Amino acid sequence: MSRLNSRAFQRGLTLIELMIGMAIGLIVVGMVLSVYLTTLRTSGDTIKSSRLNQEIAAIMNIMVNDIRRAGYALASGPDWDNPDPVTGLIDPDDYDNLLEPSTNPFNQLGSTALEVHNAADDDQGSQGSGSCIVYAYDANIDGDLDDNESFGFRLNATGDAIQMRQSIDSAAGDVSNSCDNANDTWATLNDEESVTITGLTFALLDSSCINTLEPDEVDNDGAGGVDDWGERDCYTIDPADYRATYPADESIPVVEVRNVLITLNAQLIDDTDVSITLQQHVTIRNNLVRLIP
Amino acid sequence: MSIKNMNSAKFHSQRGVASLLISLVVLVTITFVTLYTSRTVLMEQKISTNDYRGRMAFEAAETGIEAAIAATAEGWTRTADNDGDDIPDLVTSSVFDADKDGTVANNVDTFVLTNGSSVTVTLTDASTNDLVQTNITAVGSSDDNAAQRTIFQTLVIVPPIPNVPDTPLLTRGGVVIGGSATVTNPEGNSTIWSGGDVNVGSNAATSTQIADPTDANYPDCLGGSVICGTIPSSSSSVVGLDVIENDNSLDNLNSAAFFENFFGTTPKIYKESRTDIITTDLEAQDGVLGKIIWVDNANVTMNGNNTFGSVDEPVIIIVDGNYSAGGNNTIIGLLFVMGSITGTGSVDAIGSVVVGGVNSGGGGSLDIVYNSKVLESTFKKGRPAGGGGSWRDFN
Repeated sequence: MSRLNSRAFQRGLTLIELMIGMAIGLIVVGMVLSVYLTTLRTSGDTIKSSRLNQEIAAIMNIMVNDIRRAGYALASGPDWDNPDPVTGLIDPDDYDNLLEPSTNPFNQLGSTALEVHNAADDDQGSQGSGSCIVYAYDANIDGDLDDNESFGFRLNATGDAIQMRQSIDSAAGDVSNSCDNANDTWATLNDEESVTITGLTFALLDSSCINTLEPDEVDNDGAGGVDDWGERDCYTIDPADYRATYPADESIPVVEVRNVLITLNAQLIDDTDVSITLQQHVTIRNNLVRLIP
Repeated sequence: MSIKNMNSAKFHSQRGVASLLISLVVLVTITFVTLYTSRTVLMEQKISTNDYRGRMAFEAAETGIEAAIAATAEGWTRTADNDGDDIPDLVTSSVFDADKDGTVANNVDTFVLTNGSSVTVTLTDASTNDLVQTNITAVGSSDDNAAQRTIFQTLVIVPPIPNVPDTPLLTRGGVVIGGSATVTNPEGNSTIWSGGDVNVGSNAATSTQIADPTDANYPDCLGGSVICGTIPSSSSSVVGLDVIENDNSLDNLNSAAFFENFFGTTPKIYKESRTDIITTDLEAQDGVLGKIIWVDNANVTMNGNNTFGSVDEPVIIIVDGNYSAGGNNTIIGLLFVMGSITGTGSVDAIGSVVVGGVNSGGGGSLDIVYNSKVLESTFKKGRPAGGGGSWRDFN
């Protein structure tokens, strides 16, 4: 009887009980699964964006730090040990680019000074913008322009990677102020397996140029104002156009302060929703000083 | 019902155990995923912090460069060669002690910035040229000393006068001396250089003095490194070779060109960028030391007795007009008058006097003693600037 009783007691569950139990179980498992999936997705996103951030910030850092050095050259000063073989004298100004900016081999307009080019390798001028920047500085601090001291950054030909110029071959006709030499060496900076660069722009629009002969109390441009601002700003008014209004026996010294705005866009290859845009200003510390003859 | 049965019944009826197990496994997995993510995020944060510290150190180093340039702008001098590199050491005045803690040792100074970062600035000699150059090395450190950046730049001091004049009295117009005048040049053979006529008048006391060729120090004293005695050259009755009259190269210049030849820039630029004091009342500046003073007054009348400058701290006074001497005025340094000098008072100058118009002291006296050392000391007022092409942040 007791067994009967006991069996009668163990009757199993009713259909309703079973369904309620299963429903509750499913809800619990479902909730846990949804939390799991959300966590997985957000951590995936976090890791992806963090990877992209790190990669692009590192590239930006490299570019900013390097471009800032453009135009540096060792000012060797007088060469005390090697007097002029003919006169036997030491020229104290010899090769001292601090005294004579025109002797700085790393900062000559139209050859080694910083330039921004477009994809077709055309110089965009002193306030233009483009996807390639070229410049030179005295990396080994010896005062001489070497092939591996012509630097640059560019968006590659297919427009998906950033490249840094490592050297040119001047003997083969390469020049510093070209983004597309025949024999130069460029290295890709970003991880091409995971990151695509979607945009790279170097803009010089915040650069400025000062004509140091102004104010000279002469209405050089004939615009009606004596020493108006445009006369000081040699980007607005090219002093060479009004050469006759300046003293004939003096060259016109102009100082250009170059400022580069770098804009970098990138996205992940396996998840194009993850993208980043980074902008940074960099002021070139070594100003371009030149004399308009 | 036995306890055993109870247990068995309970176990059988607890179907939730499956959900529990699944949930547990999933939750543990979530924990691991979260841990992995936070590790990545922490790493990113570390990188950003490092970047921030690096920037902080870089900015501190840049501050050091600017502080050195600013300190030099307030004054500097050449001292003995303490570091043994055969170049007299450039020492800025105590203002290089930017943190005002009272210690400036061997041109090295360390100071802490308000954000906790610090910078050590060292000045080293670069050249002995007239255009003074000095190398600045600034080592910046972040607030926790974890990051360090070094920046090098050469500081160039542009002197206020490109070349030291080599005659005591230089005039574009003529010289008419009504009273007595003594123009002395112990360092050379020329005293008055003029684009017009020089009329030294009839006063018996009037004379010019040049370096004595019989002095034991002659000709070494011609550069001013040693001192020679002087002998009279010209007087009211004799005009000697030390007086150069009617030099067309001076007479042909207009007033602005004369100024530009002398200062290397236009009057307007010079006034705007190089002068320390712009005033209409020069007498109010009595006793001033070591300044470049621009007097913006068409007719400056000096009725009182004034002294400007000292041998160690000479002045450069530029009068944009005529200068009329009433009282007794002593000027140590350079007096540049764009107009003419007139009046019955006396002018004593140690250094040099340059006149754009005519020097026609009515009945007053004019005493000028040329001194190249005093004039070179005006270089102390030179404007320092970072040399183009010399900035680098790498070794």
